This record gives sequence, C-alpha cells and structure tokens, in this order.
Amino acid sequence: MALPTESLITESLRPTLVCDDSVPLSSLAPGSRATIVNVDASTPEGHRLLDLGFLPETEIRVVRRAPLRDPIAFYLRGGQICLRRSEAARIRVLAADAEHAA
Amino acid sequence: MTTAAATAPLRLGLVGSPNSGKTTLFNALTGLRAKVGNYPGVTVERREGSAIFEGRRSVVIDLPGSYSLSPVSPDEEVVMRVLDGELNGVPQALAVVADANTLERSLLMLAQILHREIPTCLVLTMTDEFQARGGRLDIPRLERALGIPVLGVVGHRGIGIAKLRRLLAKPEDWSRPHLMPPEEIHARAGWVDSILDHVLTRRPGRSRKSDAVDRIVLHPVIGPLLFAAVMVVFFQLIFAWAQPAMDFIDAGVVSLGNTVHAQLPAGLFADFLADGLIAGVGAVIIFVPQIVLLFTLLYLLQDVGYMARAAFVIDRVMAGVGLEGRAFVSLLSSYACAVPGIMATRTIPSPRHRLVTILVAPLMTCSARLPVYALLIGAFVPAVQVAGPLGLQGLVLLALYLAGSLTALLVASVLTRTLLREDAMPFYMELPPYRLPTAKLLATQVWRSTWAFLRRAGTIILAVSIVLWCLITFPRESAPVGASPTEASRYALEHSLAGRAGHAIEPLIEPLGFDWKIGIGLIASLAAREVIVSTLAQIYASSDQDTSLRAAVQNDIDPRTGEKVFDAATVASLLVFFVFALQCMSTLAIMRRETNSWRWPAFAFSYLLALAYGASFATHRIVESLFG
Repeated sequence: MALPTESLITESLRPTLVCDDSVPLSSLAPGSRATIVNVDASTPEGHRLLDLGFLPETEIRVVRRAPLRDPIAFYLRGGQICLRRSEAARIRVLAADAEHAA
Repeated sequence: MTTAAATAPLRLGLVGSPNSGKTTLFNALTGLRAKVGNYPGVTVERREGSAIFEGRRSVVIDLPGSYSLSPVSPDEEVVMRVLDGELNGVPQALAVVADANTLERSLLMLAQILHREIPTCLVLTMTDEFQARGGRLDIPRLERALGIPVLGVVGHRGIGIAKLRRLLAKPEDWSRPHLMPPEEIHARAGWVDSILDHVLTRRPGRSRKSDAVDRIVLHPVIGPLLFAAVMVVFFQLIFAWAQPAMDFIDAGVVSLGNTVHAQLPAGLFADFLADGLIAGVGAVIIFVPQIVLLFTLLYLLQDVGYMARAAFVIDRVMAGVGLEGRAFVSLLSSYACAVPGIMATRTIPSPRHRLVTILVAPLMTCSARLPVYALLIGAFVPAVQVAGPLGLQGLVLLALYLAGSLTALLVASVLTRTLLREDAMPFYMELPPYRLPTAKLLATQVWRSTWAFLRRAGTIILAVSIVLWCLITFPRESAPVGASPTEASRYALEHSLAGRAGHAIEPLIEPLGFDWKIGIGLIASLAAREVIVSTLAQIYASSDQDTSLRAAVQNDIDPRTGEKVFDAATVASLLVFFVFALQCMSTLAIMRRETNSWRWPAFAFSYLLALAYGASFATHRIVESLFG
C-alpha cells in the first residue's frame, strides 16, 4: 500500500496501449462494450484477474448488475464472470461507444 | 489391494478450471470406484479413482478446479504440490480438461502446464454446446499448433469417451510440443490469441437460451422474488420432506432397541447394545434423509447453474458482514441442520469465507432445538394471544430464531474484521450457461457426499455416544429395595458419573439459575440438544415425555429454598443457553472433518459456550430483577 501507485500503473501499462481515454470497467453501464487497456496486477489478487482472462486487448461486455447493483456480470472470452465493483475498478478499459460510459 | 511394482498402475492427473466438466469426465472414466479423502494438512478434497484403459490399470486423480498455476487458494496450491510431486509423486500423464466454449481461458493455463514437461493431452468438453452456439474448431490444426493430442468429448452423453480411453492407455506415445509457449502472462495471452486465430474457424456466440433465462432470473425485481421463493421452498423441503423419513428411522431405532431389550436377558450387555450402540448409530443415520435431500437440491441447483445466480443476487447483502453470496446457501441449510449446512460450504472458494461460515453455522436455529423449545415454551409461556392471530408462544419462538440468526451475522462480521482478516481473496464467480445435469451424475454426487458423512462423522459420533452412555450408566449403584423401575432408573442416573458431574458443575451453573438436574441434562445434551428432553424425562421419572414431563418440570420444588426450580428467570436463561451453545457432537465431528483439525471445532465450541454462558447469565439477572 505504501508503494507509489502511479509508478506501478505506468510499469504495467503496455506501451502500445497508453491512452488517456480509458475508464475503470466498474463505471460502464450494462450493455456497453469495451476493450481492456490495463489491469492493476500489482497484487496476487490483481494477478488473478489476468488468469481469468481479463487481459489487455480483450473485448469485454457489461452484461448486467445484480439487483443490489453489486456485483457486476461481464461477458468475455466465451464465458460470463462476475466481479465486485471494487475488483472491476482495477481494470481500465476503452469504451467502444463513449455514450455508454456513465 | 497392493500389487507388485512391475504392474504399478498408471497415474493420470485431470487438470482443469471449475465448471470445465472435469467431474463429469472423472465419473465417466472411473464410475463409482472413487476414493474420497483429504490432502494432508489442508481441507481440500482428494479424489482418486481406478480405471482400466485398454487393459492397462490406471489411477485417475481428479485435481481440484484451478484457473492458473499461480495459486491463490488452497485448492490451487494442491494442484501445484501434486505437479511438483510432493504428494505421491508426479503423475505420469496429465489430461487438461477444457470447456470448448471458454477455450481461450483454458489455454492460458495449458501453456503453464506444458512447461512441466509431463506427457499432456487436451480434452475439450461440451463440444455439443459449442457447436449449438455456432462455434467451429479445427482440432487437427489445434493438435499441430500445440504439439499435443487433442480430443473432443461430450462427457455426460459418453460421446468420445471410448476414444479417450484408448488415448489415455498410451501416454508414452503422445506427441510433445516442439516449442515451449512463453511464460509471462501477456506473452502467453498473445500465444493463445495467435493459436486461436488459426484454429477457431468460427467463435461460439453467447448462449441464447441462457441469456433468455437470465433476463428473468436476474431481473431487478423478479430476480430477488424468485430467489426468496427458491429459498423458502428449499428450506421447506429439507424441513418438512425429511421429517417422515426421519420419524421412520427414529421409530425403527426405538423398536430395534426394544426388541433387543425384549430378546436378550436384561443386563449390561443388552443396555449397551440398545441404549449405547443402537441409539448411537441411530443418532447418525437420523440425519441421512436431510443430508440426501439437501445434497440433491444443492447439486441440482448447482449443476443447473442457479446456485451461481442466487449467490450473484445475494452477494451484496453478505458482503455487508464480510462474507460472500455463496455463504448464504449454507447458512440457510443450517436452519434444518448445521451438519449438511457445514458440508455445503464446500462451494465457497475462499478458505477464509468458508471457515467463518462454518464457525457461525451452529448459531442458525436447527431442528434439534425445536423439541427443547417446545418443552420449555409449552410448559412456561402462557398461550395468550398478543395481536390478532399472533400468540405469545409463537412470538417467543420467533424471537429465539431471530436471536440466533442475527448473532450469526454479527459474529461473522466480527470474525472477518478481526481474527480472520488477512487473505483478501478477490470475489469472482463464473456464471456458466444453464445446463441440464443427468440423473446419473446427480445420483453419484449425492451418494458420495452421503457416504462421506456416514463414514467420517459416523465413526466419531458412534465413539462419543458410547462414552456418553458409559457416563450415564456407570458406576451402577443399585437402588433401595422396593423402588419402582422408574425410581430405580432415576436413582441410578443420579449416582452415575454424569449425575455426579451434574452435582459437581452445580456451582458453575447456579448463576444461570440451573440446578444439578438441569446440569445432567446439559451434559447429556452435549451429544445432541434434544437429548436434554429425554434425560429430563428420565430424571423426573416420567414415562410420558409430553404432558407429564411438562407438569413435572412446572411443579418441581427446590428442597432448599422451597421455591420452584423453573421460575421465569431460569426458563428464559435456559432458552437463551440453547440459542447459543454448540451442544451437538455431530456438528463438532463434521467441523473436524471439513477443517481437518480439532482447532476450529474447539474454537467454535468455546466461543459459543462463552456466548451462551454470558447471555444466559445476563438474561437470568434481567428477568429476575423484572419479575423477582
């Protein structure tokens, strides 16, 4: 926690995908499509997101939120996985259609 | 069983993610010949089954579901340890099981596994669903790209299984990859994408049927209502449907005991056989109907895919006390009985969430408390109407249920914030497409769980039952001449080790308002809560447990004070004691089995005893000052 987060983020960013339009996956409305830009994998838990297929350049769709708004279900790489909002916030995406970004 | 090393069986490991169809495949390869146990030192279930492939004897190891070889859970650590050869040596061959629909994710792990340089093949499951969703895959091309054998199967229909058996018979002949895939995760992802671009001629679309069902099941309004309905039915089925079978078993055990008494000459042996052994075994098998029903429903909901949806709907609520959606199901089952409830925690991947759920499950008001509540409420709470159809007796019962449930959530919240704080496992859960399980798969799973309960919990419960019988029976003091049989049995009980213990603990339980007779009841109820009713019946030399016991406890006078033993304060205190205390050796035995150590059952027993004592003491004081 004491580490400067900024350097961690820059480190894990892939050079070809550095862009400023990226938003946290948790901010997208259901129905929106996006492409993953970067995943904060600085912790083992974050690394697990990569193992699950939340990888840069992956196309992802927000399927729906649970009735109490958390967790959120996503469709990616042929399957549906849900994450809590706090987990989804570790993933930065580039929304395919900017209108959907809440 | 053991044979010469010359014909040592081939050891074959099945590796794959949860929901990959690995269990179905394992069942198809091994049938019912599976050995279920635990891996040393961890709570992970170990499953091995023997099989014969083309005449070659093999042992198939069903490795726990895993998403990666960078472990974050005990399940995944076991996979690592098996592949490292720390548990019984490195498997001679591996079959990586992958759902054809989510092949992209599975190949990420396959790349890691190939680095182990163990002969490996890839088995694609659910190829029928893959095709139905419009997916097309060039398997020979995939074989060439990976350099290993690839085979498509439909596990539950047995399609491709014969071919798979032929393949598994000769891992020595399997091709090996010419080039190792990259290790770093992003490079690995690139490797996976390049292969898939090459072999996936058409990607499967989303499952339309599942999407349609989800629109209803996860609807913001209908979803929670459906969830509530499923839970009510679930609870009701376990509670009500199991009852006739349980009564039947109970009657059978009682009549068997009576037969033993009638046929054998009266004496210690007949007593031991009827009251110790048969009653002890009866205490175990009485749970079987509930366990069979619970697991049938549990596996059905899970295999169909609803359980993940239910957890998705309720997760936000459970997160409030530091748990997750999947914990809800097992807490709900614990209203029927904590034993199946604790067994149901196996669906929770995070070891911390699982442990906390196990520790608070005994606080849910189980069916064994009902006879105790019924006796005390029936005898001491006036049957008056409070508001409309609501009676005071019913309200007291409801209050007891609420007290237990709210305390369970409170304790979970405290435990997840203090003692069991570290290990912040992320919450992630697959929402697999809805699938119809086959009756065979369902029956196999239910049978395995029931058998595991009977074998593991059964032995411990039997041993403790016998010890308790000895405590209530020895030493055998003969009653004064001329005593009636009921007086004689009361005399024997009072002078038994348990009776003496009741007297011995009297100073300890006096602050709660309990005398030595309740003390014996409490000691005996360590076996199972409802035992206090039959023990009190014995103490009050009452043959009829319903009305005359009720009258006896109502009118019991303390010889020292001349006042009634069961005054309002004592009754309230005893009820509160039963809300919290973990008097159930079946629960302790199953906790021992599921956590693989005596540490956690000991912890649960102690904290619940402290809670029970404190709450009873406070209740006694408060009620006494109000009514005394």
